[in-house]
Amino acid sequence: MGKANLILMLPEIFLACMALLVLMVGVFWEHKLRYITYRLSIFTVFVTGIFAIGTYSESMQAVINNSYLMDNFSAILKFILCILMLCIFLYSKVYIDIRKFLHAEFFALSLFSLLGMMVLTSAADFLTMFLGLELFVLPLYATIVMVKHQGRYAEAAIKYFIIGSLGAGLLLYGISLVYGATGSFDFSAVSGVQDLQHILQLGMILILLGIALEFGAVPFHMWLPDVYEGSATAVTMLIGTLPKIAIFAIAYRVLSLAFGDVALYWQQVILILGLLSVIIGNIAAIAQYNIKRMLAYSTIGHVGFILLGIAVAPQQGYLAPLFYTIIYAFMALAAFALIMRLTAQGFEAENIEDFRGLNRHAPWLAFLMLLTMFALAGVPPLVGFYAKFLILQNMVANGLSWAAILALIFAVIGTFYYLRVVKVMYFEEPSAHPHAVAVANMSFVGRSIVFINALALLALGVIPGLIVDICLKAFR
Amino acid sequence: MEYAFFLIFAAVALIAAAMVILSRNPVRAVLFLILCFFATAATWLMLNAEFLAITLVLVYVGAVMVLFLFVVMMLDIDFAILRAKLTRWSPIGLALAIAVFALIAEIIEKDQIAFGQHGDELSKIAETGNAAKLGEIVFTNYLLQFELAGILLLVAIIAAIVLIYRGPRSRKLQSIPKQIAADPKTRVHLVSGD
Repeated sequence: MGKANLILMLPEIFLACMALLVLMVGVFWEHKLRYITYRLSIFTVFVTGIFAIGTYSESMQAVINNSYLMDNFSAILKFILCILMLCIFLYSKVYIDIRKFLHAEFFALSLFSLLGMMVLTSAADFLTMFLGLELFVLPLYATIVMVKHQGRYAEAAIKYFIIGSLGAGLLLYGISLVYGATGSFDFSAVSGVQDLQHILQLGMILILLGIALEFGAVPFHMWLPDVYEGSATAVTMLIGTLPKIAIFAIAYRVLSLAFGDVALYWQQVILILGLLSVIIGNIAAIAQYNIKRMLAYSTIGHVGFILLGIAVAPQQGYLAPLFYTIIYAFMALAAFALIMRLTAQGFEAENIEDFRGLNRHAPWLAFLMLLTMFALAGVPPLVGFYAKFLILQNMVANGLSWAAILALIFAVIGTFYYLRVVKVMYFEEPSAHPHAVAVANMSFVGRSIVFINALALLALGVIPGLIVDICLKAFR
Repeated sequence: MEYAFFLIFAAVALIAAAMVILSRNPVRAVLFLILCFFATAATWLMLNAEFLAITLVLVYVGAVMVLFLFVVMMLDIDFAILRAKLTRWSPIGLALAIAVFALIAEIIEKDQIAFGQHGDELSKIAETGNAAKLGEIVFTNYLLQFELAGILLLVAIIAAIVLIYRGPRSRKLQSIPKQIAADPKTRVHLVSGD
């Protein structure tokens, strides 16, 4: 318990203090200086990101009784989380301003959620992990209902809350069994136990299921479409991007640190969850006419790929699933930002119909959407292809060719619904609704970053080495 | 003797928990939940975890459940509709519950788990006193988790306020000077007949 080590937690401490400050500033000055909490939050996330990358160090360091790990992995993931959060704030400023929830509470809750996710990337014992998980989902429940207090928003929030509580229950029961078997919360203490008792196995499975539930893997995917559809686009963007990275991080920590020696026991489970997710996610997405619902099912398919990558990770390494998760987060970010570009006051672009004939009105926007859809589908020159390729390569190398082929078939089936969006945009006549493109629904900075974000999906597909390098550094 | 007491309290807790779901009257369901908490507190007491037992009774029974009772009494929930859905899905739920129970029972049977394997530590803790030991460990080993839990509670408060607060509302206060200064001529307007 070294006191000096606390300096390593600077990003988290800074973020927590600033979130409190945002809250206080919101109470006293928000009505005088309109955008002050927004600017303060941007500043906070920016500085936290710099502090986070500052914790990058070659050796793994533990803080406070080994319950908090600081290594390359956590530093890089925290930095990426901060970038994503920054993008979300910049993209959604005008959107949330029009819908009248540009308040201190929204920013404070988002910042606390970010704090929870950062805790997850560094957690090294079950207790910290549970608290981090709760800290990041609890603000999300509230942000869903912030927009409006009734109707589908409330329904989405309650569904998310109940399913989330169920997940927390599974997780806690699993943790209590593991604690009962080992007498310790530390991940490392669990890995010390050689003969895996049945009770430890049950605990492990329950913990895995809790994580899979938060991930949205198939038997526990029912909340995802409703929550995506029922939230305002800015909130969907928040729920659809950052948590995936945080949950991947905790899955990596738990599976490699705690249950790394007993990989045989969980690989099958994860493999089956992954395959089911790829199959059901891609098939169910075909039937969707609401684009947010469609993206939700597509998320399930992508989560399936990440899980497939994790299933073979003990032999092949966590590089491929980490790469996939990061890329997926940026693809989803671009997709939701482009959906947001079509919104206007009192109008949400929700149905695929709303994209009809977009090419006529806004060729650039249509082109960016095309890039994003192709990237999500995994069409070759784009980065989504390389991510899928890495996962499939790992699976084949591990002797799971049948599973790889199955996943590939359903990924190809999934291409259909991405291409339908492209078809609607390019080959159909514009609908009666005027597109909201002309309306200023995003700030200039936001629009520029969306532009860069979508084009980066193409650029990184051509030179994937950049992100692969970063991922490699994470595991050094 | 201790074992017999454990069995009694465990049975009470289980039956009460089942009655929470099965009872027709929501108020009665809350009362059964209170009984369940009491029985659980008793089993914790037998594990020398007297501080936790007291906290359970004080916080949950004393505060949370009273709040629950108020909410249940104020809300007009038609339990007949809820129960109709419950009976429709109960076969699946029951099957799942039995399957999970069988799994856990099988594991306990197979492992011959000695649940008292950390018993020495517990008795050691009992010597110094539960609350003291807990306080010591929370503020040293688990300081980080303690702080995180604090932030979590703060977030819960913020979230609750966000859900309830809908902008400032001015109260309808009487203005006493205005009332005194009221004049019948300004209040009543007489209209002539023709």
